[in-house]
Amino acid sequence: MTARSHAHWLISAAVGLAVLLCTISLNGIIDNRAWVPGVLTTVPVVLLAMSLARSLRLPALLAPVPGVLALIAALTAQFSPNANALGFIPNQATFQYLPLLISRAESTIMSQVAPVLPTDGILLMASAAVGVVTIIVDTLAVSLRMPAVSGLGLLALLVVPAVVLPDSISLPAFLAAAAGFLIVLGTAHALEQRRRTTDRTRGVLFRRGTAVAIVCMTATAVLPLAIPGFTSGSFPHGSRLDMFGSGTGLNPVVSLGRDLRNPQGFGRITYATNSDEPLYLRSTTLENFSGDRWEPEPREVDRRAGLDVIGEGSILRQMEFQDTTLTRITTGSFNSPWLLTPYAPLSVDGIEGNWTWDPKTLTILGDNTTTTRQDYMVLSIDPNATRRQLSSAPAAFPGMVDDRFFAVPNGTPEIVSDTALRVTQNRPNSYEKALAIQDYLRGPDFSYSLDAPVDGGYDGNSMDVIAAFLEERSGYCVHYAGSMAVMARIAGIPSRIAIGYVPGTSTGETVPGLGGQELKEYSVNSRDAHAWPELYFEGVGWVAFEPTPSRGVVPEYAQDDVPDGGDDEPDALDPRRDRPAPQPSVQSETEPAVDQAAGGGSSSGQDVTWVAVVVPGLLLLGLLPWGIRRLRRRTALRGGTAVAAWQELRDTAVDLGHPLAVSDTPRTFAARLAARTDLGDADAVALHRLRSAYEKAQYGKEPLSVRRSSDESLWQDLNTVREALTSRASRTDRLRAALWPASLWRRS
Amino acid sequence: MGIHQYDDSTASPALHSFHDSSERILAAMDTVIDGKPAATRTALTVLLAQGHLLVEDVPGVGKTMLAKTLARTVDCSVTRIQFTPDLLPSDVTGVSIYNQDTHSFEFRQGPVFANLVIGDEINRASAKTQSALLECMEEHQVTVDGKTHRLGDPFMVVATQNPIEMEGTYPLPEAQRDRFMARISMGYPDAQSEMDMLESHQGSSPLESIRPVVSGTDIAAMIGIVRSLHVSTAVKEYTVALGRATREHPHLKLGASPRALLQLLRAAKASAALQGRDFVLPDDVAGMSDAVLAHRLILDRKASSSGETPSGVIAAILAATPVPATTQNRAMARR
Repeated sequence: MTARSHAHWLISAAVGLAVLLCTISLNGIIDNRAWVPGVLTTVPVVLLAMSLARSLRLPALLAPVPGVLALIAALTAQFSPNANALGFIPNQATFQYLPLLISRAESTIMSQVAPVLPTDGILLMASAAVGVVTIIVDTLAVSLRMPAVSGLGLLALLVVPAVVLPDSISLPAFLAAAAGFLIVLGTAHALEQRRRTTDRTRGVLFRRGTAVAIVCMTATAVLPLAIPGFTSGSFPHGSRLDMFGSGTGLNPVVSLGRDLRNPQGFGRITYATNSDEPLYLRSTTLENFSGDRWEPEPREVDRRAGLDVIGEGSILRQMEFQDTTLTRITTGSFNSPWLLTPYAPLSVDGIEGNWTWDPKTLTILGDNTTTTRQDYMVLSIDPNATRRQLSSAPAAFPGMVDDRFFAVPNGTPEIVSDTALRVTQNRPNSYEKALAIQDYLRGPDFSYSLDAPVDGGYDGNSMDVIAAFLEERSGYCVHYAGSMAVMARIAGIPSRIAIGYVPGTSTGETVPGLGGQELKEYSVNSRDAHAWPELYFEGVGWVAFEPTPSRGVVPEYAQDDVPDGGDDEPDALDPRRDRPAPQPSVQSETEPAVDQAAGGGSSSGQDVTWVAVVVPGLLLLGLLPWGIRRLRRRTALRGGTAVAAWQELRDTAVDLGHPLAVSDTPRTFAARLAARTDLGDADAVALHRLRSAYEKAQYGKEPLSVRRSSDESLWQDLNTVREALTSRASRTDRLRAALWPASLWRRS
Repeated sequence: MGIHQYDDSTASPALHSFHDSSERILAAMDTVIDGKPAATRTALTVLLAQGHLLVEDVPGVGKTMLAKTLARTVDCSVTRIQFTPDLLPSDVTGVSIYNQDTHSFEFRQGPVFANLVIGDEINRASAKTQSALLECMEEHQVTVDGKTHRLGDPFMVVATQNPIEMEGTYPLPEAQRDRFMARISMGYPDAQSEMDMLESHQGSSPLESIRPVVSGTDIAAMIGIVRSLHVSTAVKEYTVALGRATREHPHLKLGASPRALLQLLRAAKASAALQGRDFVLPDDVAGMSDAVLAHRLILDRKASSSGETPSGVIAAILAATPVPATTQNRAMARR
């Protein structure tokens, strides 16, 4: 009876756990696990409000109302800390501020592809959505007593990653969600069973249920791996047969898309660098667009042997003023004729085999040798191009750089040239034009998709494909880079496409470099494969741009801005970096170093918030049993019935270590209690009165509703016995009764 | 459970007089039966619950004395039948005799026509005679030559049986033991009680000194009160749970019959009334379950050869059966 009346706390706790487990699937959607603190705050607050409402005997169907109110309060406190009343009550200012956040979040969703940057708006939407799901699941599982149906609510959380992420829900996330659902089912079932059956059958049922669940989950996890093409159902993401078909290595042209679509990611490459930021690794460039698609230029004649000194002319001149970067690259099984280096390489050390480099593109090609199992050092420079330099760069014309960087094939589709001219018109200089093209491609009209090209049959970067891409406005980096390069050429800017890898993820380890300096290690695999355009500016050199929304996110303030730095500056906009993007100001030419410092600061700030949330959270969790027990006592007091008084007495006794058997009648329990604790006469009489009142209420003639005992003596008796029991208990028993009240877990 | 516990100050006046009468009966019986308050109390409980009592024990511990004492304290008709192998059914129920004056058959009532029938050594009679008595017990009536004759009200059979002497006896079959509401064993009295007994039985028999303390109508009224006692759903559920547990128990070949449960609840009501309560507690049911159920349960061969007893099984069942709360309360708690 008592167990039943507070069973909803247990089910709600299970619901909370299940929702939190399901949110693990948000991992690939929002970067940096930034949703965790918000969700960890919102879910308990909402559940607490709903459970309290139930404990206060509010009609069961009204429980969502306090839940919604608590959700609003929690969101207000978290996301509108400066515009509210009393810290958590929304006021007019809040209702002006929050829609702003939401509209920003909308534009983020429109312009970015998962994982998105954790802006306040996104976090607000995530917390709100999880909160609403929590209310729905809790209402289904507890109020409506349909724990099985509550899985639909949890499913709603999984639908987002299933639709958005290219490789659908990850296995751990799925297993976590399934486990959460099973916890809800199991808790509800166990509580139901406890009411009905004996211990023996309950154990059997529980074991049987667990076995069935484990078999089902294992099958779900293993079957898709065993059966190729099993995924081509609702969310086709290409065939997993590719896993065995394609070798590792960076095929410079179209197989890049297939690499990206591979859900596993293969060909792990690690690199360690003394640069403060992770680097783009460049493999080759595509500059020949004379045919029907972008291809590497076979300039065998120009190639020069030896990697001790790479580059000439302008690059070597710049070197004196620029920082150099040391990078150690381990290729593993990565197999390609082109050597991976950061741009722009100055020298390569420790490489095996004969290699040649192209002075026009600084790409390094093996002479009958490949990159497999190489471990080499690259010295590169970071050309610190500034906005001012770029803006003042004169328009390039053939002769400054090789003609081939200008070449646009005849018969360019109208949509390509029209779009290029329309986007770049009224822009004063090359830099502005380049920015305009990038902004256009990053705009909300375009969406990142690894699948559209496959379905549309235009996996590649021919002119037709680019035209189709501009039509469909959906594609991946090859299309974005190809389009931008073509449009730049149409606008008169020399361009080429670089193929390589985005910076990848930090392994968190360091590798000793030359002279005892520590190099930070990162790893990339085939899923980090990328293509990006490089545009030439006279006096500055080749500058990388990032038109692909999935791989580089331009925050809204920088929509009309481009990094003032040089080639590797677009890295700063990559969401895969380990720290949030720096925020270059439109007016000032902020130094990258300053940006990094700011980035690092905000990262440690996040750690502090994390601690600030988790520590009190754990403390609160620890005090939860005490709080619930106290609440029960007060509810009993308010109820004022003999039944409540007896139950409270029984709970107190159980807390203090006097166990209650299922077959105990009030009499046998009272007799044992009195004997064990050696109660005095007055206390024994009080116990006797409590027992008689309870018996009468429980088994007597009058209906229960009129058995509201108004006389205070019952409660005096209760207090007398409670004090007697407490005073006879040892100190450890008392402490345990306060912090870990056994009556909350046992049937009483 | 205290024996003479009177724990409800708000009981009705009827219950007050009930309690007074029962205390008088028990006090009177205790003057004769030394040191056996539980046995006397169970005997009275069975009388008030309109059941029949089987007293089973070795000779000489006061089985017949108990039956006689109970009969003496109540002012009602008492007969005693000494069962022997040659006793005929008509010796119990009565016979039709041809009356030459009226030229018709007349029914002459047998010893069973009394309020209290003491059947001594019931297992010495033939099965035919036993079943004649058992029929009367169940139906409270006798049918002879197509005419039905009502038996007394109240009507109670106290039968004794000797388990030791097996030669020339016809032990009651299980089905017939089911007709008895309760079975008790007297057991040997303790040393002090035995001393007292030797003392008091020196002169005249103490049975002679007993005067009836209540009348037959008083007993009928008390039976009425017992019938009107409130039994909550929870207690009924508990009774049913106990019964089902005996049927599902792995060591039992035969569990409690529905009639057994009916009688258990009736006995529990009488027990509650004897304690001055106008409602039944699970404790009442548990307290009566050994007396009411033990003689009906049959152990399987393995359990009986390993030394288990029906009483032991009942104790185990009592320790494992949850005590339910009332349904209304559960409904409230569920919210």
